[in-house]
Amino acid sequence: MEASTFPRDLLEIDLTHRTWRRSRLGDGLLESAPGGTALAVRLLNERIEGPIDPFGEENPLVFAAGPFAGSPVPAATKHALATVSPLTGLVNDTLSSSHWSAALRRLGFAALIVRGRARESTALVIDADGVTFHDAISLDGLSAEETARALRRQLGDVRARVCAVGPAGERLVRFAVVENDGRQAGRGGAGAVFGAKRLKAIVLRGGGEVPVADAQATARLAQRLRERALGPKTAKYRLLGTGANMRVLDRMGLLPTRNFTAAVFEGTERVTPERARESPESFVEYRAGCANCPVQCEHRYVRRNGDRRRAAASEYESAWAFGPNCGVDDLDAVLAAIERCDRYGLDTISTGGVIAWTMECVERGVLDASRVGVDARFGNGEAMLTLIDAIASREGFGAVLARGVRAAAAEVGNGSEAFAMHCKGLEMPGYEPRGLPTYALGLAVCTRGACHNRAATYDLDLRRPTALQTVEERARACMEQEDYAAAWDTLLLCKFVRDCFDDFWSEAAELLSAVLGGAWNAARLRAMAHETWYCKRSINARLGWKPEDDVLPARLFEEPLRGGPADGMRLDREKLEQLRKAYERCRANYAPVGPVASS
Amino acid sequence: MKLELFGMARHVVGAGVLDVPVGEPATVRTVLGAAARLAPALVGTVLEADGTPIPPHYLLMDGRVAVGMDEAIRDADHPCLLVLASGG
Repeated sequence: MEASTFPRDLLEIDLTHRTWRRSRLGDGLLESAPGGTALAVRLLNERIEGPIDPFGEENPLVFAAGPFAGSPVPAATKHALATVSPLTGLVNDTLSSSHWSAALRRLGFAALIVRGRARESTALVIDADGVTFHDAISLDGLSAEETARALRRQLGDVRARVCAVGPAGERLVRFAVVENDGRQAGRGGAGAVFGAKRLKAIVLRGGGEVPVADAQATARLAQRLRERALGPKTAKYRLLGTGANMRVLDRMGLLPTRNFTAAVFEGTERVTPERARESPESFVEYRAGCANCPVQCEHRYVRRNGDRRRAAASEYESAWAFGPNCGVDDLDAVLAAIERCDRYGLDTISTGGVIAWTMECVERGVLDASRVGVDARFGNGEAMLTLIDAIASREGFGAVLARGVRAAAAEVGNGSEAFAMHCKGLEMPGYEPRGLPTYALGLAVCTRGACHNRAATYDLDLRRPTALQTVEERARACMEQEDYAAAWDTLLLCKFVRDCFDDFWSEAAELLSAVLGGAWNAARLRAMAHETWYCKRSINARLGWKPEDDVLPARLFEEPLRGGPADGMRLDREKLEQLRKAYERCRANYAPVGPVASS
Repeated sequence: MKLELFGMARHVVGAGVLDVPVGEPATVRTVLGAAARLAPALVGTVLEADGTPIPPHYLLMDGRVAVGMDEAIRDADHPCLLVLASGG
């Protein structure tokens, strides 16, 4: 089968004028950006001329299916969503997975772009005949899951695939998520961009098979990956889930605690998701995962006497955000917080981050309980849940927190900016940068803000802590990790199968050639990954990013860690600046291989 | 010597600590080799039969990652068998 038969259409929808247009993407673009993040950010790049209001009509939502979505390749049914983040004002490339991703391909689309603003709450229904615009006012206030159920009922189509926002997105909470099939395009506030466009949901219906270039090779390579993904390299995800990180990071003294005032949490044993798994007499565990993924990494827990529909996903970052980072050692409160965020459509890392900052403000006397509306001190699980409700509804102090920690600290002032834990406006994830120097650099320079998944540089510090000796080595390693992540995010293979490849670049190129056709090899894949990073940086430059924005919170330089194996560690401003400059030199010396292709 | 177990190691052994009998001088090889013999459930998922950690498992000694199998383990060390389940 010729590669040209592979889904390659672009669907552009204008909510303001209720129009749509289907076109074919150019060969040049698809050859350098075969899908996922590469394609999404290139299409975004063509539509960003200068600084824009993330909530303005002109901010596009760009979806791009992964090149393997809908194919037999396992752990790869995913899509990317790129937009300008209302938290950072910069590019936000976010990912989600499962049936909706495959449905996009099955309808023949490589990408989907939504612009404009509807007059009233709207659901888009897309099928082989085109796009219809449906009034969604009756869905307002529903969670994404409830919205999906209601739309399937309305349409009489149980197989309709729905991505939607919950109440937090409707109310423009700047860290609202977009959800489909129980998975979230989580960080950076794409859900609020939906809300600003009065877009409640996008429904995909029907579609055919997704053709592949070489069915035999695809089946063989997919089977190899499937077998590996069922082996010991992913056992930790299948059997334990990422929640098992908590005990490990605590033992290493790298578990950010109480808004990064410590890195060892005395309540870890009480609040780790592993405790739920180890207590079958008290908790029921449900396993879940993405479509066509053998790993099924999601471990949901609920009390034996609880409502199964309220079982909470226990990913490490979520459990960390509401446990150690808020000083809460009550597992029930942590699971309730996660479940509540999923129902409202809130990013758990950012939600935990703004609440932890609030708790520190209250403890320091920067804020009093009457302004916050509740005595929000570290460890108060009830106050944490109350604040989640307030954020989602934007009521009281929740309206301040709904703008993210950077904006909240700017409004509250009184020195609270120094302990607002974010980079470029995106709240920090659950790894302690003071003990992880390459990770600290990766956070600082990340085009998305404080994201742990666009470089995963903590992997280098944890797995090969002595491998990087010089500034240049560390800077180069950071750049290579970013490009490596960009390749994964373009192929949209789940990073949880990364240990299943002996030689990722070559094996991934082989997979791509089998599915898409064309002569992919490791060098071409590397060039594509680099160009993807360059494209993100170019967008940011036009949006107003400056090198001096690549900084980390003052606390990380001024307050050494206390206790645990990382006792005394802090970041050195001068050293980080040296690293940042070396990183920029690496990037400058590794220029893109050609101009960013146009559609 | 007490070997602390985390993640998959803890899961397959069913305990958080393994009391590993080793003579002096102890090395990463002797400690993990003894652990593999004492707890065969570790073999295949966490350790090779000779005690070599299966990536991405590794041995941490109170904040310091063991980089080689012949590295000495001192009395003051607190060895931990870890795996980091990244992401999520």
